[in-house]
Amino acid sequence: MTTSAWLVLALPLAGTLTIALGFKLWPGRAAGWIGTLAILASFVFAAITFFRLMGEDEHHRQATSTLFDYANTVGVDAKVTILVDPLSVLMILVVTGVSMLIHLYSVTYMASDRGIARYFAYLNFFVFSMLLLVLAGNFFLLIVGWAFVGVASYLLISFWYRRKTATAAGVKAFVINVVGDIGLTLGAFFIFKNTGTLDYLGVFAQAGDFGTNDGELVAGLVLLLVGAFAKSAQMPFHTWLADAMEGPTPVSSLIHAATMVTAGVYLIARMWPLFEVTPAAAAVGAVVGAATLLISATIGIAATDIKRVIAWSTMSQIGYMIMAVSSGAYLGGMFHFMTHAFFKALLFMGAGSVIGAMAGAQTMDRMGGFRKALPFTFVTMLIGGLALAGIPPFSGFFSKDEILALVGERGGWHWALYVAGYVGAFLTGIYTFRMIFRVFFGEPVTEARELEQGHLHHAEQHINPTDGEVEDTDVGFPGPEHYIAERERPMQIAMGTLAILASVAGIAYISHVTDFLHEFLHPTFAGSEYFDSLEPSVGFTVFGWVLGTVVGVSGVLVAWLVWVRRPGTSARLQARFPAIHRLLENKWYFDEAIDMVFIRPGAWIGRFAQQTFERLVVNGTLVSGTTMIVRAGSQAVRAAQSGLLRSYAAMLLLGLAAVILYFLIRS
Amino acid sequence: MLSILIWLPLAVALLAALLPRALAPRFAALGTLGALGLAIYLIADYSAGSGMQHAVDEIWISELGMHYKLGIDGLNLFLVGLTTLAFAAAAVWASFREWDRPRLFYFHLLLGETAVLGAFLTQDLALFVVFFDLMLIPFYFLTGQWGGENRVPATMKMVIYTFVGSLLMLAGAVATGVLAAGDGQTLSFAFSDLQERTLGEGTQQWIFLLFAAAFLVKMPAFPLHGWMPDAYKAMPIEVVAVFSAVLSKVAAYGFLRIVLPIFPDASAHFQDLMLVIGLASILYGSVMAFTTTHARLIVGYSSVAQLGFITLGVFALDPQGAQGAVLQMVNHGLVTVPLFLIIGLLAVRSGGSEDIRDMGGIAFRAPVLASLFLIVALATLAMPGSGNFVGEFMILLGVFETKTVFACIGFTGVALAAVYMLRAFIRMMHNRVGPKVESREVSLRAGLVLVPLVAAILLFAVYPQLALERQEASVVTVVETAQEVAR
Repeated sequence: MTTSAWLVLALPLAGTLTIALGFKLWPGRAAGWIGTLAILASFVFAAITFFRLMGEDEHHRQATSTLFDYANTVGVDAKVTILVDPLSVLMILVVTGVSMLIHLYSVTYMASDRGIARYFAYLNFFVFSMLLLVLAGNFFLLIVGWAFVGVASYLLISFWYRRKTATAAGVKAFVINVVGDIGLTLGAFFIFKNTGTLDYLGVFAQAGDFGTNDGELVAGLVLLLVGAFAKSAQMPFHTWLADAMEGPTPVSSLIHAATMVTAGVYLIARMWPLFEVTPAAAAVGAVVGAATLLISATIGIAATDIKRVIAWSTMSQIGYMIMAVSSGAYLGGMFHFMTHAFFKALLFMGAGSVIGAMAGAQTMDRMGGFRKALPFTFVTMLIGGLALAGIPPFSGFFSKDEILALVGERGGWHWALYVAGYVGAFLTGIYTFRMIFRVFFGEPVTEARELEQGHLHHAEQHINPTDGEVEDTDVGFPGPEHYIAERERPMQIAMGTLAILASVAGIAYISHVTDFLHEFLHPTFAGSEYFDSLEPSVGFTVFGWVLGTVVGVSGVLVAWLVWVRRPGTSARLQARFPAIHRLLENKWYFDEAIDMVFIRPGAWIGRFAQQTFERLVVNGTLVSGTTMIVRAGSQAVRAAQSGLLRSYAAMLLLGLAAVILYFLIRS
Repeated sequence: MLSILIWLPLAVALLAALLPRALAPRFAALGTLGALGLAIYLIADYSAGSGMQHAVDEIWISELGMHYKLGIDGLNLFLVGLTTLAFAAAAVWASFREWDRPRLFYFHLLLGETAVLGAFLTQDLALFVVFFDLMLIPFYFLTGQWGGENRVPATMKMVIYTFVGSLLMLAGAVATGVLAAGDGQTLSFAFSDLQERTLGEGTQQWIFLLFAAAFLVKMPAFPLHGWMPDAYKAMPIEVVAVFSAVLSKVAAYGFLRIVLPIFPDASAHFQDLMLVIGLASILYGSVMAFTTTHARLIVGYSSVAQLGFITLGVFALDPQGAQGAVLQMVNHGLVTVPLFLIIGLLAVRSGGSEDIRDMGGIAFRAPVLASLFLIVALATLAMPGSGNFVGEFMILLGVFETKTVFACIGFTGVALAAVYMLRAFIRMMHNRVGPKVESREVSLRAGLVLVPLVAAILLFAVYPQLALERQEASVVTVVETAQEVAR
């Protein structure tokens, strides 16, 4: 069981090294196929791990394995250890499976990019890092995986590194993620201080020794949450994710939708024994999740860049998951993680296909009427959209419903979260179908009409969609070719598979009907206060289904009314409520606030240190002062233009002579 | 064995001086590689946890109680390795280009290596002072004669600054030896003797300050770093690489080897002061590093910050902090050498300028160079998974357990490191191509120097336990007493 898990981890790393070290040898798409095969093999071993795990009886579905000591000294016990249990196996299955499909999609999508080998080396490295994160058996390795995915994310966001917008977005993502890493590390410090170990199982075994809401544990867990929020783009650490859309679209699909950004959800679920004894920390997670799901959904309605709409939607959906796992709805959270990985990866792939048809343009203001020109993309994106909007019987419906049912079942103040969840679901329907309607319905734009005639549009000059600068095309993209799913088999296979999964994955757990996911995850959450006991009644479940359907459908209807039935309504609304529109367009001014509170003072301090302090105090007073004193003192010695060394040697000799003299007299 | 290691570079330097001009560089480079080989042998041969090994103890000046006493243990084992690696890299790198008066140049460089190795290996305070001061002389000449613009004032500033520190230390060392020798005891400067002859608390305190001043200047730590910017700008790139990588470590090492065990009461007394200096160095160094545009100074100020972390680790006064500090000394040296060498390469590609505003977009035709630089940059900002992170993790954990607030502030340095390193990397390698930039791949011979250095970084990234388990016993010993006092 652990051997196959180690192989799951090793294969993407081997892929990275193979692609990176032989980057000059691989012709054309070869690097892409190597990368895809590495992940496919990793997926196969993940499946083997799954079956081996299921072969064990319920009480033995947990195994650790240590490869070597990493930093095992003076009380610190950091080892290269993995923990294989249902939770990590669910994660590696989804991660390797979705990654494999996205690699496949990328083989075509990135085919004309000059940096294709670099791209796949990074992508394989990302998968390795993500697997390390979820398989880690202790806090130290978790932090390593946590930071590695951050680096992979940075490298891929600024993949087209001639774009200033891309490098700036990369730095932003990296720095916010480093803040998250720090939160995680400091959180681990608090836990280590109180338990004396970094090992998960060692810590969890002591969870019962903490009193309820133990002060240091609350501090530690809130710091872990900072890590989770930064990685999962939750408020107020969310601003990097929208900018991260500067990266290639498959990257957005893999890292910034399906896998990495859900790491925070995994972390909270993994730490359940600690969160259950500190409800105060769990409440922070739940409230932030709920706030994020609402706020980012409102921004998603105003965003015009197709990838950014999906990005805001990702934050919102992860808000649901964070809220879920912080409220004891572990099953709902992990279930939604899985279905979201399918339909959100699919939506991004569809967006990539649309962007291909638009020759790189991403703004929806210029899109429209692609239904006939991109039939395959349309159908698959529609499936993804229905799943996202929570329309039955698509997978998102069941997973979102499960979250809300469990949160509602918690009762108490969690009812507020329950309500927020349904408000969010309504908004989800609006922004999702706003996107679909604006891209695929209405009058076909030039690009769509040309494509209907069989001609794929190509731009003469590439313009950076973010800042309008003319692209420097030396660094691959935008390469000479664009690709659409309609013409490329690998893209179709990837999107088709995900469309099927997005449609049917709901059967993994349908309350009171199928129970597979609950049974499967049970060993990880054995002993949890909530995992088994939160069990919505049949009536409450059915009520949830009806409510969810009504809310989701009415969201879609509103979108239909505003953007299809009466085009122009949106402009009228913007004119009627300019303040609200500005607020949404400026993303609730989070960027500006961060700029005001951190960046500007930082820059000011920097300027002060550089221009004033260093010059006046360090150089002026200290250096010149010392120099002057010494000069004055050694004036006599250096009367002859002897230079410094002679005076130095002389003083040293004088000093030594004095010392010797002293001792001679003394003895 | 240790004597051979120390004096080998000097012997090679003297022989090289007799050889024809054309052969001297290669011979000198070969000599440094020989020293590196010896150091690797010592590391391989080292058995963890058994005190001083390969010890040498000869009476040098009996009237003064000065011994020629050498030994290697967990504390200096990897620092010796680092020193020989850094000097080998610098000497080989230097042999790629023509120098004015090459024999003299290599003589000074190798004399510097002898002095540093001596300072690391000696187990006698008087001998330490001699080697510590000897270090300054070759670097004075290397900067003053082979340096770049404004080398004369820069050299003056550096020498005066560190010279004052040296004098203070000399006074402190003499006082320690004399005052420690009680009635009827013979004078001795051996660390092992001084450790047993505890000084009174008041005496410890003023002597502590003398040593601290010397070491903090050498590191350099805020606010005593005033000599650093000009000196770093003036030195030849190979020289600044070893200077920054190795000489600063002698100071940090001095705290652990000398100050903590011999002045434990004073160390505990001044713990907070030293932690504040460490924190100030971290914050100030980081802020300066992300505002300056001179590539060398980015590394220079980042070193101020990194040595701030090391100071924190030393004065955490517990085994975790000290373990982290020693590991971090090695790690920091390992990243500094390639950083400076790469800056040298980049300057060649951007019309000779070392200002990051003149660079940009260099990665394009130089994927190998960009990858090597990226690995070094990520290690420098202590990304988890690098050896540098293990160092910072242990340091901050050590501080955290007794001084939580200090550790929390220290973490801001971790975030700032990400800002300044990435800024530097992006401004040099990414974005639009600079006006004078001509991107081309790293040459094979430069690669032959850089790749082993990066390999060493990766080795510590994958398996830091290699160093940690060999260091453990010695590190625990040197902090023991001070830790007891502090508790």
